[in-house]
Amino acid sequence: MIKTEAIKKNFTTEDVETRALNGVTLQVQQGDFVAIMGPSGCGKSTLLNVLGLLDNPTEGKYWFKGIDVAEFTEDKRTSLRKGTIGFVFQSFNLIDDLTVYENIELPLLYMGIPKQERQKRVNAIMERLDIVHRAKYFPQQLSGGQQQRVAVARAVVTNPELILADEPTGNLDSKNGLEVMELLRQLNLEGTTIIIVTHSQRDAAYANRVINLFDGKII
Amino acid sequence: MLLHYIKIAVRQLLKYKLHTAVSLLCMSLGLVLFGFVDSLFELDKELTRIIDFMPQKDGNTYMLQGEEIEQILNADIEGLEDIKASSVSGYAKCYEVGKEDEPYIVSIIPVNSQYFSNASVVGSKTLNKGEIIINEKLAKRMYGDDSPIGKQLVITKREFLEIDQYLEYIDISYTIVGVAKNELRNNDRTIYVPFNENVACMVSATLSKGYRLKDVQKTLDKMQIFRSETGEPLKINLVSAVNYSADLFSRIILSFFALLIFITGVVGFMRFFIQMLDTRHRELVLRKCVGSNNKGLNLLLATEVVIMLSLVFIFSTVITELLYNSINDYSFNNVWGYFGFTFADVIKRQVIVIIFALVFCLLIILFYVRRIGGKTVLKVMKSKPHTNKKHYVLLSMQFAVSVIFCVLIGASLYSIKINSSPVKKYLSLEEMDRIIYVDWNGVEHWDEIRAELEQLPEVENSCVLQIEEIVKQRYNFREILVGSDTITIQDVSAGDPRYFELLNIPMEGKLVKPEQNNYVYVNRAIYDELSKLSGFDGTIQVSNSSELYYRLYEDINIDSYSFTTLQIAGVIDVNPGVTPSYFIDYGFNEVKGVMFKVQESPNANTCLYKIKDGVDIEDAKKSFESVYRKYIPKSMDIAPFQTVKDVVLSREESIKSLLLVSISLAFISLVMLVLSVYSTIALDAARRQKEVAIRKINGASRQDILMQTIKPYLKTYTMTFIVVYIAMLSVWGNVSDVSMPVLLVTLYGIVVYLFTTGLVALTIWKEVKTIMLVNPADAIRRE
Repeated sequence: MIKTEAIKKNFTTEDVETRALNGVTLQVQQGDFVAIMGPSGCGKSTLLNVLGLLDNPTEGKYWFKGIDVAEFTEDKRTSLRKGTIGFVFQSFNLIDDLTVYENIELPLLYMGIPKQERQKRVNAIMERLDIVHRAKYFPQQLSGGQQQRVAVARAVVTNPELILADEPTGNLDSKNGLEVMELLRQLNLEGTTIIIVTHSQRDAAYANRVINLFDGKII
Repeated sequence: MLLHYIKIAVRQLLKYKLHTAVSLLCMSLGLVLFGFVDSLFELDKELTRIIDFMPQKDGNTYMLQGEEIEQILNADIEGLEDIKASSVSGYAKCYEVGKEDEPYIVSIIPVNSQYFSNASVVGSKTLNKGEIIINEKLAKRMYGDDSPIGKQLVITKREFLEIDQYLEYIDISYTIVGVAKNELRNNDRTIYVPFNENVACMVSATLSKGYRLKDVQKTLDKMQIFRSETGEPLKINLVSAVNYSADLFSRIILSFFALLIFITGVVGFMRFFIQMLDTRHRELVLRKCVGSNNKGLNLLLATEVVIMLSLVFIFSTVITELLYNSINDYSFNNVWGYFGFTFADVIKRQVIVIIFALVFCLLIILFYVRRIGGKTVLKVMKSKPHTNKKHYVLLSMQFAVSVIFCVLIGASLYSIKINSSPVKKYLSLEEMDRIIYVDWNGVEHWDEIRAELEQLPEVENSCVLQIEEIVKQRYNFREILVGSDTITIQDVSAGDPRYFELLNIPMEGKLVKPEQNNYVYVNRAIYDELSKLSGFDGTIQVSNSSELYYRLYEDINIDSYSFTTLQIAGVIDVNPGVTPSYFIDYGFNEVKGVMFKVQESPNANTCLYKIKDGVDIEDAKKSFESVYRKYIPKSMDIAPFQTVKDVVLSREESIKSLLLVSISLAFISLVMLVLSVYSTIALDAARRQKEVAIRKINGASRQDILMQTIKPYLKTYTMTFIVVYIAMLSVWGNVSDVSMPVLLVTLYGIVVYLFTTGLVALTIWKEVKTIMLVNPADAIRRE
């Protein structure tokens, strides 16, 4: 599903150039559950952004489902990402002005799914994640665990082939963290490919493969 | 602590520089314009306090005379004060005793003895027999800096005038007892004389404070006032003197524009302030957590408001100072009955508005602080986000203002086009510039002057006409007779038919000689109507009972007390006065029925002289001047000669200046709107980076983000536009006679919609692009 070859990513500020990724080569198969680990600043999130088509690598090759996407424009990346990749973040990244229902509905809206179908899918995922009773709440009115469940619901509501999670349990207590990881495992068992970035050995234990990153390289 | 609050307030205002600047500009301009407009409205109240007495005789209004005036002046009518009688002005010649060779042409206005009792007069305010009051301009002209009080003037008769009825004694000296300053009509040279019983006068008065017109009318109805001729009871209607369509029209337009700008300013400020409070919700709660109490929060926010409003006040005072003189002068010269307002009047109003704005903001502050006062940080963090409803409601008000402005500008431009001089239909400006336009203007030996002007070698063709005078006395909806049938006409004028030839006015029929005064010309609409009548043989009759007959008798000297038959000589296109004031002065009804009576030598004359090709127009004017100079003493000025082009353009100038002011105000409003939307979008661009990133991560394309950003504005604008437009169209019928037809204004609306949408789109494009191009990875990383 994913294949990279010596990808590099540089960030340039006014006077400093930082290399976040330094020649990462990896492959992820359909149905894998991969954990990316490493110390802070080693390039984990940058790698996840590149893999999730949020950013282009500065150098190197990247094939997503067999398509060379390394030099895709933002428009093309958006088009490919839509409905294919779901994201879960440590800080949830829900939109404050939208209710729980509207946050989950958002990707379906951009996919152009008709309203009735959207309703069906959103209700189904909310039931599955036990957040139906919070449908009309705004994110700031929810606990951290509930917010992360909403974020997961939003990521999976389109039935994506790939879910990328950037420290999904980082802001949660152990109970809620466990729930989220169980959820991801369940999705993986249903066939969704999952890549998570984590500091936690316990979370990494859910993965069937662990990639360690250090100074932008796989070690 | 206060210093801390001031520091925070300044920092807060500087943080949103654009918002602050836009609010400052909007509020200041709104405040300035409000100050001036409110002063004008105050003036309007004063004007409406002045009322005219309109007596009715046989169903028609007429002027009061003799004993009738005395009865009113001597009556103690509750609710009325300062009752004045004055007649229409007439020209006369006057000179200082012993200086017969240095005469002046002056306007004579007969007035009652107490006419100036509440006016600004140097010297005596009361007029007795043999005394006169002159206006300041004449005093300056005749006596320079010397006081004219006690000096003696001889008033003498002029040709064409029957001032015998104005003055009891002609050719005797009168003593100047006072100099009237700031008179209402601002005439060039005026002498006020005591009226006598032969003079027909208008009577006016001022309503006492607390009285309304209808109350006084009831009192008047109970009084017994009799007609001096017959002794029958006289019905007098009180009518507001403000009902002068030209002045009222100008003032309403200007006031409306200015008020709309004020609304835009206030709305802009409200948006800024409410938005500011919404965004600082958390900060305020945090302040409370670290020790601030409600009083402290109130003070913090109040400081910001006070600083902002102080800046607004300083800014608006500076603008007011810059504009005050020119606006006051403009109003003085253009508004009848205008007494002027002071700089302090304007500032006083602005202070009142600022205080209202301050109270409004303080109330909002108290409300907000009270609402968050008892909450913890956690509770505030977990409260529902603020909706943007208020923001869009306020924004839609600004949109509405801009729509109204744009439509009014188009309508005004269109009005100018349709209300411009009809002469422009027939003659190019170059052709108009070859015709010299000469008004009688009170000169003596007019017949001799005219005869000599006609004989000048430079003159190719000439005519004398009375268009303006008759048009000014136009009586709408009068009837002419064909057998037992009647036809309504709306406009009667008279003069020399060569007028059609000279101004190139299309005419079907024969051009009769000026002395053939039993001929008339009618316009096509009337002719078609006449043709449908059985028995129509090309002649019409005017009856001695019709008002038309009365006017013709009075002004055009046809035989009285009989049915007069007039032959139709031809059909004319229209009957154009040479001025566009045609519509402005007499309302907005389209003139359908027009009749032009052939008249050899009307009383008040305007002459047109077509200058031969090849003759320099300036040389021709010099020849005209030399003819005039033969008859006019050196002490008297000769007004510069004008061509028809000069007259037409100068009359149009006043309308254009009004339009210019309106367009300027409209432009300010549009700029304010665009800046306002721009500042909002700019703020959005800065604040919505994370939200846009999340949307992009969830599949939003650039087009989706574009729509997401502009859709609320587009939706708000479109809805506002539709509502405003429907509202405007529902009342448009009332003004469609003088402006665009309803269908055209609808089409124009579509253009306005596209234009304003395009204008706003262009302005916000850069900021929208910034939002569209947000890199999701970067935005999330920054968070």
